[in-house]
Amino acid sequence: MAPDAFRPLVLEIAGLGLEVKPAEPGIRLVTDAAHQPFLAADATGDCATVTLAPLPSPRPSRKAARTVFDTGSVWRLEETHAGHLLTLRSPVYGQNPYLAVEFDRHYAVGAGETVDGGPHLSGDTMHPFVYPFDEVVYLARLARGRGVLVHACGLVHRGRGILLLGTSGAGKSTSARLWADRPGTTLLSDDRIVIRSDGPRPRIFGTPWHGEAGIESPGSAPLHAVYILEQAPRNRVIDMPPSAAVAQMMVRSFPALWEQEGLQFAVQFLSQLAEQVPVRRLQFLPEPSAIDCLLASLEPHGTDAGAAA
Amino acid sequence: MSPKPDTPDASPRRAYQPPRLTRVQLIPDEAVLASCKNASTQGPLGGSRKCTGPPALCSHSGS
Repeated sequence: MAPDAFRPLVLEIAGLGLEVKPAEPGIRLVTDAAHQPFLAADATGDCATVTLAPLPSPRPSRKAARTVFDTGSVWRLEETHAGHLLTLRSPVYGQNPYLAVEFDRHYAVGAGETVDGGPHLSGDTMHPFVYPFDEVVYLARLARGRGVLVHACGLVHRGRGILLLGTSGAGKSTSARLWADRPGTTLLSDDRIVIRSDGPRPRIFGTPWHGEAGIESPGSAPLHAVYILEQAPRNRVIDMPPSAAVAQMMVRSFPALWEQEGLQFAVQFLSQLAEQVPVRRLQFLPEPSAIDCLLASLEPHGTDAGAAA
Repeated sequence: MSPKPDTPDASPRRAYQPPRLTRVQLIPDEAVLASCKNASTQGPLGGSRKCTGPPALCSHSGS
């Protein structure tokens, strides 16, 4: 059976769905290569649904009240009667948003418009998953007790999930390229990973929001250890007390900064994580010996603190 | 009144360590998902309108 070019697109990341439907017939939904491995056949389970209509030109389309959160440039959240209004802007399209979607308080249902000729719509072709729309929606939904999005390279080595956390320039993509040559390794992402609770161990999930190395995979694995990346003149693994571990993970995560509940959830989630798996600093050289150093610290009787290679 | 048993403390307290302030440098745009990540997520205009050159959807490039 030939695929229906006009059917909704369903994104599935970390077991969470995001379905986007055009409000009018005859609009074809497409996505970039990075998102394609994350497309699902149908909207099932925990899935949000967004309906998008074409807007002929940028203009205010929905009434909002208090500004809840404003990045100052790219996206803004405002309070509405029903929930939140998410708007995306660019100087290219003037002061009015090129995309506006109103969500209910649970971010389960959204309805909005996007400018024809903007990043999301060109004639009869809709490109719903353009940065940062899908990422912001997932961030908001994760913050409602589902999990935490972190700035990290995530990988699976011989069945064990490993997180390498770092802000820009810390070495996530460099590490991903090094690990790519290591047998028994599957890379999940070189930039964004979702962590969710899954019994005694948290579970890490790949995302389509890759970094410089362009690595994305819809795989997942139980998390065995977390490393905070620090470039250094030699390789070294240093244990961290849980309080420091939580602080270091928080600044490398994307909590819902606009909600007290969302922030509290992230702190609690990461505090629990720090009790479940070791969180360490990885001082490393950008060379394969850094992987050997990390792997030595994973061994049950290995030299955990101060391991060097 | 019986005397208190002379039992050693099974879990001695750890020495007090004063709070330590650690500064972490953040890029605000990156922390709030306000920087473009790569050209492939820029939609239909991505090929010609990347973060790095005008006209841009946003003003910074993150990783």
